[in-house]
Amino acid sequence: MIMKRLWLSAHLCAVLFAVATFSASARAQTVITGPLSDIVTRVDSKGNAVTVRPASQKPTWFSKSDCFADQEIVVGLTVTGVTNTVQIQAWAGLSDCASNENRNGQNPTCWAVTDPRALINGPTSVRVRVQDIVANMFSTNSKLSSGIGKQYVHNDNAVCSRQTPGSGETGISIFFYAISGGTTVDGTGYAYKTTVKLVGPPAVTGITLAPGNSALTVGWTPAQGISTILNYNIFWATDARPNPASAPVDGDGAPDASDASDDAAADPDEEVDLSDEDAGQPDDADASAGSTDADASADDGGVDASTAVEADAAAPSMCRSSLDGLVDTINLRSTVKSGQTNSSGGLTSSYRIKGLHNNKLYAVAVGAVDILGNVGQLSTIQCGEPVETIGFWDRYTHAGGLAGGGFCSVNRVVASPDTGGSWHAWWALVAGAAGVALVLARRRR
Amino acid sequence: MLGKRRQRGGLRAIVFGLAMLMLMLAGGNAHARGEADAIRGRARPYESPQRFALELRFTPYRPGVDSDPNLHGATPYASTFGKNRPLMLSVEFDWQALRIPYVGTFGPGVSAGIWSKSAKASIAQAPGGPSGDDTTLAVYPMSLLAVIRFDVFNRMWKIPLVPYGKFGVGYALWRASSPDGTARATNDAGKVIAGAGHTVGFEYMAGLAFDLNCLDPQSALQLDNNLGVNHTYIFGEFTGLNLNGIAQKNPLRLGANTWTVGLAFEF
Repeated sequence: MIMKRLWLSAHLCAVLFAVATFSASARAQTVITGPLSDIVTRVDSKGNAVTVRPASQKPTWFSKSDCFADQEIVVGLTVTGVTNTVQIQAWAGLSDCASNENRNGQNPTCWAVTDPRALINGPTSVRVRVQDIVANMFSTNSKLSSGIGKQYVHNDNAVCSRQTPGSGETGISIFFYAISGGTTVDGTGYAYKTTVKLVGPPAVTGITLAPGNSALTVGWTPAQGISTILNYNIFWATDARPNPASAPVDGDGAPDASDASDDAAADPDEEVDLSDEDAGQPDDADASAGSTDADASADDGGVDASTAVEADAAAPSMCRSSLDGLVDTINLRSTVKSGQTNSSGGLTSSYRIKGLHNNKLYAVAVGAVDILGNVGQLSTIQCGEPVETIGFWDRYTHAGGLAGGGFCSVNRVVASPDTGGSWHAWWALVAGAAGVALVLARRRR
Repeated sequence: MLGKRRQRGGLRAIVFGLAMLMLMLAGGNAHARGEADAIRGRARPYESPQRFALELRFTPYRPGVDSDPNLHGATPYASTFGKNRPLMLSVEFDWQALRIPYVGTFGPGVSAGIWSKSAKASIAQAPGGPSGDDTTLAVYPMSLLAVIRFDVFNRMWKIPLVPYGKFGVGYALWRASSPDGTARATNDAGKVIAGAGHTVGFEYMAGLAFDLNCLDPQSALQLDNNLGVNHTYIFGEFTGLNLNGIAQKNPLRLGANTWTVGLAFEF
């Protein structure tokens, strides 16, 4: 009996050992493999596919606008060897997240970017938000405080304005691990590596502003490293007004106090149009916007009128506008319009802003855009007024010239020697041509 | 008086002597070459038929806009663009329809070109100065010409110079533009006039072409055998563009007397 019990016990132990061994081996065989291609699908927060950048513009990298748009990557995985207690969780980090110390230690270097969820064998996909990926990557020495990152936290777009150190390009990996009982299952895991770059090129320098007829032509010095420049964004504020401590730029490029005093916006009784949504269209409603200068400063988020002078002492902008202090160009104010140079990128060094009002002050700044679409720090702000110009055709017409009217314009025939010619010349030509034809015909015979 | 006559007579004698020397040298060369070919039993090198000529032309050009009597001495062109003469680029194609014995070739030709000049428009308000806007005048000249080339010297005496002359009718489309497109201005009658139109006129040219074949006859022969190019010339010519309007009431005067250099190919 005793022997039988011992035999049963031994048998039970053997079975339990075998089950335990089998279970462990089953867990060890859980394998997660990633997609064949580096380019993973991107969706917006609603799950709709978004258009990725062309191959030449690093479509796998994360840009500031990707972050602000709350994009998510969808990583297709293939899972094998899963038992019923295994979950999958994604972690982001600058180093290997397989180590429990890096995820749950005193100074973790990885942070959870998804909640754990059940894992089954076969193909699956995991969505990870860009905002969650970039959330903790700029901590000092890439070390997080204890407890930070251990639990998944849903971040918002505030994280998108955090600056990357150094060159602005930071490599990051998103790890997909099978988790069992809070511990990474050995031998599992897939790492998706990419780069985050949330800052644009350095500020553009050498800004010049030349007035044109209902237009301003802004010029600049092409940025360094033009191969990484996609284009330039040009911003202009329709609510510019002279800075009491300075004067606007005039046609000769020099400050001109008289222009400042002449400008309607300098008059506190004049109204400033803050509702100018249609830059590029002549706007007759400027005087009816119903807002004063003082209102403008407060309303547009600009510097308060009482502090404007102090701010100007440090920043010698010659006018005040919505461009003052503008850092984030993702959500532009309605008083700031923007244009874009073509994709010839760094080679471009000027842009003509059209459709402006003559004799109205505008503030203009330029930001270089990198190939990811990140707008760099804005240049210094220049102010200027479009003015009426005189070109060749104006001079000719005003001097009494009567030509023109279009390529197909028909001019009456006259015989006045003063105005060109006569029919006699035509007859001479016709006669000459007939003579040539006659000679050719006789020659052929 | 007598001394002057002697001087003139001496000059004539020198010119005549040089001309004769060149003819003799050229003739002697040809003669010697012919004899050498005969000794070696060679036939005269093959020359492909020659029917056409193509010219690439470079002409410094400043249109005579300011000569318009309606302007009463005003100089809108010079005031805007200055007095330099940008190059006009053009192409001419001639059909050498007739070969006139002991003279050369004669036939019709057509040409087309492009020219433009830009400057900064001025600020209207005092004190003025250049603005950021460009103002441009573009001219697209075309012509139908009768062309005669006196290549008898080159053919008969191997003097590699070909005088030529051209005469015909010219037609030019022109356009004054601003950054926003075709310029428009309001005249004294309050009518808005578009800065575009056409001008008709005469053209005449006289020039001298230098046959580059004489520098490397072997390569020239290869060029002929491979591509059918009989002669390659560089040329210089006086170019008279009387594009001041024929039977037009108010043409934009585009006439100019200038010169042209270029490359010509006969094939």
